Amino acid sequence: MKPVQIELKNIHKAFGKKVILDGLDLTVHRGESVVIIGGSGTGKSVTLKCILGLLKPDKGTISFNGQQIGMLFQSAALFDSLSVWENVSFAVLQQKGMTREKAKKIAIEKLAEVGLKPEVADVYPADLSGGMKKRVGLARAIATKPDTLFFDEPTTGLDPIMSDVINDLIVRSVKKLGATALTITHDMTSAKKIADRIAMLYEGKIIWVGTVKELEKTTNPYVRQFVAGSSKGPIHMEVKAEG
Amino acid sequence: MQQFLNFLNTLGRVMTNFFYATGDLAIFTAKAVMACLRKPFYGKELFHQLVEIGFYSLPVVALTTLFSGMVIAIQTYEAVSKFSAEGAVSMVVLVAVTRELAPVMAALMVAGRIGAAMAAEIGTMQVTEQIDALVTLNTNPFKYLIAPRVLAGILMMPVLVLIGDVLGVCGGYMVGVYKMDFNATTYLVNTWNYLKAMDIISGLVKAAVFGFIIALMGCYNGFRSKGGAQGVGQATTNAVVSSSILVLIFNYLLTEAFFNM
Repeated sequence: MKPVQIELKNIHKAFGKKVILDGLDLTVHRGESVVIIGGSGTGKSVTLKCILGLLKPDKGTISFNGQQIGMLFQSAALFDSLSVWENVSFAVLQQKGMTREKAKKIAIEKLAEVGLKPEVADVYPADLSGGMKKRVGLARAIATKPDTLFFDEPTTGLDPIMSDVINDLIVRSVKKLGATALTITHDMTSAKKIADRIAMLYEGKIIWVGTVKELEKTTNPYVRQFVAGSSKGPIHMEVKAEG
Repeated sequence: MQQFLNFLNTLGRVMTNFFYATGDLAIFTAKAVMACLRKPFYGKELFHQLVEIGFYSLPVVALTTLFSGMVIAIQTYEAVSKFSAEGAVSMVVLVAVTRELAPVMAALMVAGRIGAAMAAEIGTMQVTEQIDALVTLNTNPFKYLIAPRVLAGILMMPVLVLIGDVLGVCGGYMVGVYKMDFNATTYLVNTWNYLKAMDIISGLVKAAVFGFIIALMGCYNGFRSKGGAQGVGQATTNAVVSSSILVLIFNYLLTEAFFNM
């Protein structure tokens, strides 16, 4: 068994009276790619923000044994005021002795790794399409050669072909870096392509963990309903009646 | 009885929210000040903010103080000519501009221009996860976003006010000499004779404090914005309103401290 890279034990998080995470446990081993699936509002993003230290859990412990992280945000979260290459090399530019020329060269190399031409380097994020923004976000995430990568809904808002391109890039980048990856998504095609293991989050807890093969054979009614995308089953979506 | 309990309930909620907001602002201020004092410093960001606050606010501050000086000259002349004390016009213009008009008018103009822009920019960064992205890129948002803006506010407001002082006095001179037929040399000599270092210094200290308040409130409201475009709009309004009110309150407190103690 490989050493543990990320471990969450009994994580609780509530906003006011609304309980989001209710005793979440999850272990991610070094070098593996884990995908957390679950419906909207089940606490996937909150889990990720707790791991990244952007939110403080009310209770529980999180241990992280990595050195450097990279993160691809749902909206790519590129800095509007900086050009594409400055976005990609943002963390690289903070390193001691790094010149802007050297940083730009690194940025262009990273852009090439995600299939973008050098001409894109001097463009500003506002001029990019959604798919290109995600690729630039991915280039920024891998620019410092992190040992742990986080992906927040990497294919949301993209057409199926661009989604597949992003999935391929994620798989390739994770393999090339030999990194540990934690992804949250509700896109099952993406989850099956990226994941070594899949964990299902429901009502603030991980209710199922298994490989992609095990996912297809599982009898867990929650997982089966979610994978099938059916409205019939134990998972009830709150829908307000009109009128 | 029930109505009284409801009243107490509402009062308690309002007080709790007030103390929560005050405490939150106090913690934010402490973090901002610490970020200004500790390494790393982002020189490029600071330079960008110095230009944004100092250079681009210059036209609006210049026009405001110039016309304020002109208005003060007219109003003073109207008042003192009844007592044949027209010679006091240059002194009143000088004191009014350097002590009050230049710092306060410049602060209100900069609050509307820069405070709103800071709240909108940082607010948009907050709701589009750009501030979270900064954290994941090993960058402290207080050092990268807040400290350069606060430092630029403290450094550039006195410069703007100093220019405003000169233009305000020039406004008074133009009205005095070209409209009221004062002797130009006498007006300038009177102005020079009445000039006291304390008047200028008090105005510059006020300017630095106002610069801190405007940048802090712009950053604070932007940082705390949530809920998309509406939240950013609300943050922008709050930044301008809160910084304008605080500028006027601190103007009174500083005037008391400089001239009444």
